[in-house]
Amino acid sequence: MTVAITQLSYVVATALFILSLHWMNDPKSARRGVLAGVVAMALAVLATWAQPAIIVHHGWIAIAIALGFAVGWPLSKVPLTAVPQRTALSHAFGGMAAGLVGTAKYFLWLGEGGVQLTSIRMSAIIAEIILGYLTFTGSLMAAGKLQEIRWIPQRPVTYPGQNVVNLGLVGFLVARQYLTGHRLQPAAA
Amino acid sequence: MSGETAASGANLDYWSMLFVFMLATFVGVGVIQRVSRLLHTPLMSLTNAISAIAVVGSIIVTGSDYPVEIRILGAIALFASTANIVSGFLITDRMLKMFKRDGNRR
Repeated sequence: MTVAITQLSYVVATALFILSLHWMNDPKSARRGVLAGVVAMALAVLATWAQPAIIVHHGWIAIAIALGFAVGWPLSKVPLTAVPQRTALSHAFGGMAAGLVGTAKYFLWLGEGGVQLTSIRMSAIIAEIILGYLTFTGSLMAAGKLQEIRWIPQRPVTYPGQNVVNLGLVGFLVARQYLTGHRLQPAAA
Repeated sequence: MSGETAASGANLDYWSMLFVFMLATFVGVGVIQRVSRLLHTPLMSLTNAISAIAVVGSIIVTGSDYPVEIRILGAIALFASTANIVSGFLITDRMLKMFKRDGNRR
């Protein structure tokens, strides 16, 4: 029963998110779009939180959300000239959150014996972690540059063969993570 | 929920996820295509806030009966996502409020 309520809330929230973006098409309905987004987000959060069969540590959630409000509120009051930095910082936060959830899921399933770490889930976790932390560090650099922090160079750092090195690094990351996932498979079988 | 579905369920999951991904791509392109140039910046910050829907995952990781170190990772993620949601929606609305004034003046 509660599962049905949760899933139904997700369906409604998804529809509201689509409407939210749709209303953003036109300046006349744009603020309604923001409202739809807020309602959808609140619905999704409450539906997830109110699952007595899964969620038991309510205090932890309440504290993390309260701290998020404490930081998010002042971040929305920055002067308009600082909005690009704020967006970059926000991207960094989002990337970090994705990376952390991926890391947490990996260690959770690893601790349960690795049976849950199917190759499909492992690929999803690998993508989540690589993209998440890449976004985190990259967006932090971008935010620092936009804010013109002293110890971050304004001119792009370039050197010969940079693209080869960067692509090589990505290849190394993917291969390294693939091997980590691959090594788990015998244990899972 | 997804905890009980092991290998066989995960395969089904995978295909339905692929369908959702495909459909969502079309919906996303369709919905965004006709946005007026004026609204590009608020659209950016709105989608930034909406992308924080990943908060749902961090709520489950933080609140479930998992080992403490895993819940700490979840709580940090939950904090970061909430900060994004709050500041993202508020700043989008702030931009749009200013817009309205500009529109009236024209």
